[in-house]
Amino acid sequence: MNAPPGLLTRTPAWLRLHSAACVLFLYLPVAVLVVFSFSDSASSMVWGGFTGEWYAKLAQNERLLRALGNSLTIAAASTGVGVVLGTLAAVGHAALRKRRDAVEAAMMLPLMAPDIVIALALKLLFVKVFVTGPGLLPMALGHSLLAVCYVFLVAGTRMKRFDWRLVEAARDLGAGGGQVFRHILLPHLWPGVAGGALLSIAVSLDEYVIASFLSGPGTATVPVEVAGMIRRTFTPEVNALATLLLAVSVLLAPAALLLWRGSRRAMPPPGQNA
Amino acid sequence: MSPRLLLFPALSWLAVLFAAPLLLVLAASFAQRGLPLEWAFSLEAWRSVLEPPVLKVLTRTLWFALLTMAGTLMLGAPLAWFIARRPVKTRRMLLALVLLPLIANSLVLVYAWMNLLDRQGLAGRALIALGVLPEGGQMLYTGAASLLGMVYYFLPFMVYPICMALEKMDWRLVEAAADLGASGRQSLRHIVLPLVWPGVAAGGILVFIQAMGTFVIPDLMGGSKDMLAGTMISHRFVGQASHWPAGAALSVLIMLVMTAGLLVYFKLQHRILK
Repeated sequence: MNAPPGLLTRTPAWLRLHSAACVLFLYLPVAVLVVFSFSDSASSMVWGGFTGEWYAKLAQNERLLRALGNSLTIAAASTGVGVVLGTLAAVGHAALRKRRDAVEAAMMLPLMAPDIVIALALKLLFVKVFVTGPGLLPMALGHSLLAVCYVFLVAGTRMKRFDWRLVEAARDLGAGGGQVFRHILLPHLWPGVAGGALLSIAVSLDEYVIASFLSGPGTATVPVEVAGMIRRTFTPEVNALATLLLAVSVLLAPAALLLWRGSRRAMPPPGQNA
Repeated sequence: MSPRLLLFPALSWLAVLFAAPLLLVLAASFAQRGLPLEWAFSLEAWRSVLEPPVLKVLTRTLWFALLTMAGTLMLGAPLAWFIARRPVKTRRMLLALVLLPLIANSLVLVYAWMNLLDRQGLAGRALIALGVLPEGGQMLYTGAASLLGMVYYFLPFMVYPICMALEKMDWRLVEAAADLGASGRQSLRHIVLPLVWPGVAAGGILVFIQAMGTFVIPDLMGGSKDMLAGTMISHRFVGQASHWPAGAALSVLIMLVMTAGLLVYFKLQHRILK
C-alpha cells in the first residue's frame, strides 16, 4: 500500500496506545481466567498459590465426563451427516449452471440466523410435530444442520478450483460416475471436506444454545454443564474447565482454517493445465 | 450424476430442519397458549407483544444494539486504521489476533468477564476502590455489564470490514489530492471517508443485527433487571410461566428486524467488493 502523505502518514502516539489497549482488552480477561485456573483457593477471583488440583478434579467429575461423552457423540454424528450431505452438495453446486447464487445463499442462511431462533424452532419441531421430546437425537439433528452448511462452505471453496475437464476426459475414457467420484473428485476435494469436518466438530463441541434447548435429563453436553456451573459458582475448577475448552477451540479451528486457506491457494485456476 | 440430484439431500435436510421449523415458529405465533401449545388460531400472542413490558424490552434491545454498534465503532475504527497501515505481514498477524477470540467458546469469554466484573473480581474490586461503584456494589448483572460483554464480543466484527475497506483503498488518490494542495484533514474528509464508508457501514450493520439477536451474553451477565429480547424469548419457552406463542411472536419480530438489516448488509457488501 503506497504511503499517504502528510497528516495521514504518521501514526500518532495516541493511536498506538489505543491499539495496544484494544488488544489488551481482548486478551486480558482470558489470560486472567487461565492464570486463576491454577489458584489454590475456593474462589476463582482470589489468588492462593499455584496448584494443578483443579484439573485433576475435573478428570473425576462424573457429570462432566458423561457430558463429554454426549458432546463427542453429538459432534461425531452431526459431522458424519454433514460430511456426506455437504460434500455432495458442494460438488452439485459447483456443477450447477443456473441459480448458483441462490443455492449458495440458501445454504448459508442457517449460519446467519440467530442461534436462539433456530433453537426454539427446533424445539417446536421436536416437541409438537415429531413428538420425540428432547434428547440426544434432536440435538444431533440440530447440529447436523450447521454441519452440512459448514462442510458445504469449506468444500465448496475447494471446488471453485476444480478443473471439470478432468471429469470430461475420464468420461471419454469410459469411467463411470462412481469411479469419477473416487479417483478424480475425492482426491481434489478431501482437504476441503476435512476442513469443514473439523470446523463443524469444533462448532458442535462449543455450541450451547441449541443444545440447551433440546437437551433433557442426562443428555447435557459440556457447554450446557458449563453454563449451569457458571450460574452457580466461580471456582478455579470452572476456570480449569474453561481453559480446557479454550485449548480445544484454539487447536481445532485454526487447523480447519489452514485447510480452508490451503484449498484457496493450492490448485491453479481452471484453464491453465496442459 | 446430475447437480440437482447431488444437491437434493442437503437441500431437503435444510428444508426439514431449518425452513419448516421457522415456518412452524410463524404458525406458532398465531396459536394459543397451552401445555405448551394448542394449535388453535389466536391473536393473543401478537397482542401481548404490544404490551408495555414487552415494548420496553424491545426498545431496550434496540437501544443496546445501537450502543454496541457505537462502542465497537469507537474502539474498532482507530484499531482498524492502525492495522491497515502496517506492512502486509504484520497486518495479517494483527488481524488474526483480533479475530482469534471469535474461535473461543462464547461461554468461556462470558465467564472470564463475569470473574472480572463481580464485586470480588479484579475489575470489580478496582471499581470500588476507585470510588466508581459504592461499597458492595457490582457491575455484574447490570445492563452495563451486558453492554461491555457485547462490545467485547462484537469488536472483531467491526474491525475486519473496516480494515478490508481501508486495504482496498487506492492511496494514490490521497497523494494526488496533496499534489493539488489539499491538507491531510481535507483528504481525510473528502477522499478517505467516502471510500471507506461502506466498510464502516457493513461492520455497523453486522454488529447491530447480531446484537439484536444475542442471547448468551445478556442472559448470563445482564441479570433480570435490564432484560433483552433474546433472554425474554428464552424465558417464554422454559418453565412454568412459559408462553410459547408469545415467544414465537417475539422471535418473528426480531427476525424481521435482522432480515432487514441483512438485506442492507448484502447491498453494502456488493459495493465494497467492487
